[in-house]
Amino acid sequence: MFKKFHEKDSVTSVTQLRNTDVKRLKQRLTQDFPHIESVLDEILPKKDTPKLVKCQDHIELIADSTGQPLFFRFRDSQSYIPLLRLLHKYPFILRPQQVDKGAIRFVLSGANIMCPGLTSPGAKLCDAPKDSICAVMAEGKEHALAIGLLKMSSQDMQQINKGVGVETLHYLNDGLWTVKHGFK
Amino acid sequence: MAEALSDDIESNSSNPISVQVNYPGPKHDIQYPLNIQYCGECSLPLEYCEYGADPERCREWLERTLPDLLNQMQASGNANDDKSGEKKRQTRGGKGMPKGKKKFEAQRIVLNKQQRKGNKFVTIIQGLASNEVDIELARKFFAQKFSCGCSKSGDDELTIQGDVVSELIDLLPDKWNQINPELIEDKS
Repeated sequence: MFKKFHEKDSVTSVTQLRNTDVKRLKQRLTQDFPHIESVLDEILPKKDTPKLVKCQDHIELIADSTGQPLFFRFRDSQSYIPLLRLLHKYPFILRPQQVDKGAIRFVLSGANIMCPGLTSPGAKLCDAPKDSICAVMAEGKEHALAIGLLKMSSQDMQQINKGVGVETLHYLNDGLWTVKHGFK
Repeated sequence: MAEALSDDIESNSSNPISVQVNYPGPKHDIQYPLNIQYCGECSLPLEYCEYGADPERCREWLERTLPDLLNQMQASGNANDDKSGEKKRQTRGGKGMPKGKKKFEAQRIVLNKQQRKGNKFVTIIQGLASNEVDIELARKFFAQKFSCGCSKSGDDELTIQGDVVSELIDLLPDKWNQINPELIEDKS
């Protein structure tokens, strides 16, 4: 999704997020990611007004007041997804799904994850419903490799074992990861 | 996820191959936010450097900046014995191979002269960026130095109004030490 994202070119506007929207954002985050509640005040401090960064292809980013992106949202989906940089700091936010070693290269070039990659030896599945956001971990690695959206529930993945299991939304070294200066 | 994911095998799981994992919350003994060390070369967490564009450069960066971490990683790496494990895993080919970042191959600097209307010329310099010269800075410098217009006419190209080829041959190695005078090619 962020394969062709450029810090300067893909952004259309940067605005301050209104208070009502900030409240709604926090509510939504606590609903989607129950474990985030304990650190939500660190990520989005009360006095700090976050910024709303609108981008091409119906993508919106939520950045903190310094301009560093924290969450993103696509189309009109109500849920916000944390960025990999944030996930590395607070790994407990998302459910982990582990892929086997051979899949790492593909995920790093933006490929979606097929079911066999999650059911082979070396892979680990976490109980998760369809359309939930997960952290893609790699066999033998400590840090998250990517963030994905489950196209099937983990039960289905084990039983059917064919087709796309997890759609890769954001991965290491994609356009969004390489944002250096933030959005002013 | 500072330690390996905890295993929690379901008793009624029909598929014994993949193991079901818990969705644990924050660990109580760990201070969040975690401070992750990213590689200076590939910007990935250190364990992913092998999947970056140039693992050799990553290693060199690590040796220069964080030699203690390198020793730590080497010590644990020997215990893992990756290579025998790799052969047992699925190997896939194709599009999954890492692509290097496009390195400017033209390390040499090419000077060219073009004719504009009348008895006027412009000098074109190609290849400055590949020699680690800030193009913006160079542009301003040339414009001031030669009291003329200078513009960025391409990804790695500057156009200076006027015929300044001979001055440039002397100027470039003078101003920027990293430029080797032998690398300058005069095609005018």
